[in-house]
Parts: sequence; structure tokens; C-alpha cells
Amino acid sequence: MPMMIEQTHERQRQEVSLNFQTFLADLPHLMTRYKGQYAVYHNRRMAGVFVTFQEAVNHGLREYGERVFSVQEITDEIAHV
Amino acid sequence: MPRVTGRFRAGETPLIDVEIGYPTGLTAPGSSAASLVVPLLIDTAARFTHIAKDVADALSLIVIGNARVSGSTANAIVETYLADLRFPSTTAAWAGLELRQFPNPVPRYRGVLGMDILRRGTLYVDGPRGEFILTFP
Repeated sequence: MPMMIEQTHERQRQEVSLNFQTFLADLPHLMTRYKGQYAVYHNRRMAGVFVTFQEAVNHGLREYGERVFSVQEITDEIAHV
Repeated sequence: MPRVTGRFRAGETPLIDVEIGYPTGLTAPGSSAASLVVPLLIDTAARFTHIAKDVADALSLIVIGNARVSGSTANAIVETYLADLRFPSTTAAWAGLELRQFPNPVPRYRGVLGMDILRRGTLYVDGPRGEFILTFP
């Protein structure tokens, strides 16, 4: 993979990871009102809650473009795999 | 009606070939493969479909989030990806799905096909014959 793409992906992973930490802090509050819905995060801030995953992705792509936002399902379930 | 069939030997779990692709409507980075066909374990105990990280990396899939999962040995935080999924040689296909990183890579398969996809169709497993049929409306 060319170095520039690799760096872009690494920045994306860091952004997603930081967003996830914010999401976990927000989760208890979100669970009271939005359980089962999808939260969009950008720059470690919640940018909106959407009923479906597709709606959340479309919002993120429209507002922020590819690879600079996160979509997190609002659940406290730890899924088995 | 899209239909996928497969066979498995006694003592083995059924695997199914699935084509994973970069999301429709978005432009994949130049050097990435457009799609890859990989064997997944049919896993009715898994809520989500998971793919190995090297598959996601080969396709340069967009990392869209993280998720907590419990595995056979420990809990883990995995990546989630935005991707398309298709069963080869059929019209059964979905765009813009959330797929998850498979935390337990094994040589025999590259992830698991979970209930997020299986619930869209009908799965019939014939143990004595070692056959399965997966159909979608």
C-alpha cells in the first residue's frame, strides 16, 4: 500500500479510536433515549443520532466526506463472535 | 430466487464463499482490489458478520467505528468497516453494510457470516448429507 494511503488510513483509525472513547463516555446518557439507534461522531464530538446505520453513514459522508467520521450503534451489548 | 449451496464434511463446520467489496458509490484508493471472495464460517451465534483485518486492508475499506466483542478467550475492541457484500454467481447483494473485524483469524476461514445477513434469508442444513442451502427472497 503506498505510503500516503497508509498514512491516511492511520489518521482515520486514530480519529475513529478517539471518537470511540468519547462515545463510551456518552453511552450511559445515550442509552436512556436512543438505544438501538446510531450516533455519528466527528472530531470527538457527537454530530447527531439516526434511526438506521445507512442514515448515519449518509449524514457523515454528506457533512464530512469519507474517512473522517464514525458511526456507533448505541448499545451496551458486547456481541459474541 | 438467489440460492447458495455448499457441502461440508463430518466433523467440520460449514463455510460459504462471500464477495466483499468497497462501498458502491465511493471511490476506492488506486492500488486496492475492488473486491475479494473469501470463505466465511456460517455462524448463527454471531449477531454480526466479521471479516479478517487483512481482507479489510487489502480492499482499503473505510474504518467507520469500533465495537466491543467477546471472543472465546477474552473481550476485545475491533474495527467496524463500511462495505458491500455479495454471494458470487447470484443476485444476493447488499451495499453499505457495517461489517466487523474478525478478532480470531484462523487459516480455514476469513471471518464469520452472522445473523445480520442470515436473517435476510432461509438457511437449511442437512447434517447427514453434509449439505446446506441458503436462499434469499
